[in-house]
Amino acid sequence: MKALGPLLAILTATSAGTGLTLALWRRSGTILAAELFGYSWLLGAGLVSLLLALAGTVLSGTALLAVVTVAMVPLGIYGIGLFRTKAVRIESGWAEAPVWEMWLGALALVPIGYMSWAVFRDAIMWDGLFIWEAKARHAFLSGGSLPASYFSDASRVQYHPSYPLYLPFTELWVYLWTGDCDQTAVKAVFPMFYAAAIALLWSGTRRLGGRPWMAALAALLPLFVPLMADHGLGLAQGYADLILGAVYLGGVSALLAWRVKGLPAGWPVAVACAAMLPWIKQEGLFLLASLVILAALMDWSRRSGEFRSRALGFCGSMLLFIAPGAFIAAGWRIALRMLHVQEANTFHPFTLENLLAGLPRLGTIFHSMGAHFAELKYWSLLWFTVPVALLTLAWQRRSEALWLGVALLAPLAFDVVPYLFTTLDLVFHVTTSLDRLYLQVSLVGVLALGVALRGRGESNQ
Amino acid sequence: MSAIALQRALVLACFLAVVGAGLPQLGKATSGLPLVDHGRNSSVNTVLEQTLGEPGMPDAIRAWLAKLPAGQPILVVVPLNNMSADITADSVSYLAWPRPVMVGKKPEEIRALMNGARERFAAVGFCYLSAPPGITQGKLFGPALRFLPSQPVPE
Repeated sequence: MKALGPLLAILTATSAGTGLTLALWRRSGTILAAELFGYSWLLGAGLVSLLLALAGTVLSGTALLAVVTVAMVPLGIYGIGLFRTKAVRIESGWAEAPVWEMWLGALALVPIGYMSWAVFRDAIMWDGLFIWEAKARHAFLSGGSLPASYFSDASRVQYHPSYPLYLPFTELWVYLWTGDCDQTAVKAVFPMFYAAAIALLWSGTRRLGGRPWMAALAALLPLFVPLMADHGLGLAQGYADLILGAVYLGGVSALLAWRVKGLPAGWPVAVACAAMLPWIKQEGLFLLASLVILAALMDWSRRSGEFRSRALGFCGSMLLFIAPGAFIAAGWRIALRMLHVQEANTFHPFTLENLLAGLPRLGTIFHSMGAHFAELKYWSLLWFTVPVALLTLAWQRRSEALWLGVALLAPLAFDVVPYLFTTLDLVFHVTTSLDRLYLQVSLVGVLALGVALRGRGESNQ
Repeated sequence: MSAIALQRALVLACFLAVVGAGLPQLGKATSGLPLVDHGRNSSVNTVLEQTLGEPGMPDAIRAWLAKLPAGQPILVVVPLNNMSADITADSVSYLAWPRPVMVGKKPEEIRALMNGARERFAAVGFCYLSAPPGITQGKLFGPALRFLPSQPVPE
């Protein structure tokens, strides 16, 4: 069971995610195999962690494992049914490509292979161990859920009991299937997250008209950006930032496909990704807000007619877009309050007075942000080339320039906020966290480069 | 040269620049800690073997902590600005769960935690610090972690 456990955990989560993805895709015809895989894993992990958190309040041990599995299997069966009735068709994305281009497409597998090796080379460390994996371990040792005492334990405030459970409970799912809290077995999920990110980079570029070789180049690029690979505390050490970035990339890609290519499924898939963001990390709230801004701009810009009907339709759409994410975020906060969670005193209260008091810090914050963008040992030249890609898209008179610009700039603007309110030494706080905030949007930066490779009006075949 | 070709050349140059500048860093994962085993405690084993200099520390620490009075907190005292001590104390807290584990760094913080009654703690650990003068007993885990139990612990 030890060897099979991670495999079964991954298969069940992916199958539920596949069912959910295909259900959201129902009216849109063809789905690329890479995007099906990427969304299936990311949404499947979200589903399984949410179900474990909910069912774990009343069930434990084998009963919890059985009930969550039984709840997920019908989704997988539903997905297979959609294939059989041809409600959704699956496509490789390179069917009509020449042989050389198909071979070049194999480049996309190189970063996944590299990360799989790096994950099993390094120990899970620091936040990966004490904040994320520890929650999975403690929940497993308590029968499948975190006891109330975990949240109110004043001696463990520094391990942030209030952080959400997307990653820890995906790890818990592996532990439940393995029957042990095995720190080697749990590593199987990290290459899956990386593969999902790479698959969404490939499919995002392809979906927006890039040829297979362009998509392959975009998918290969994270390997050469040190922090997106294994240089630094990241996915290989069990951190959640790249996972948050992958889900954000999924949401942005889906919205772009909806607005630019008219893909109906893009909107509901983006809603599902947006809902997962606050369930991964606190900064997910900033990324959720960024996706909401992007969706609002896209939705408003496509509406025409009388103002009143435009406004009503717009408000309805946006309410539906925000509701699932807001529900999850609010539900988690309410649960934490009921559990009397102990929280680290990292921020001053978010009041106007404290905001004004923090404004003089802006100079230091912007200076640090600029300096971190230019750290070649962490970012290579990524942040110098992303503006070139956006300018090229603008030169091509493509709307993607605006949408990708918003998708990159909105989170970066939000990222300033915590530093205005921090109780820690500002330079220390910025130095130890800023690169991880950049990591959360870096995949969208790479997408911009991939999308800019195609000229306006070119065929995507 | 058409505009499309120029644009593509520009973006391809960007790709090459990222690859060229990033290539020398590939495989130099300086922040990572290579695993020393691939068992069920592989990561915490690796961390503690690195900081305490001996293998098998997680099981030994957990077994010893299990002999202390149940539910009573322990205190781990660490020096300021010592990452090896920090990660060792964090590992002890991780292994000791659900037992409360206080980590003290500053003298006034430690005095407040002790509150004049060391017996409040099942044990006090000194991590990357010498034990108070005259104290030679206690349980050693490698050269850098010594626990002083409040009551004798059966071997």
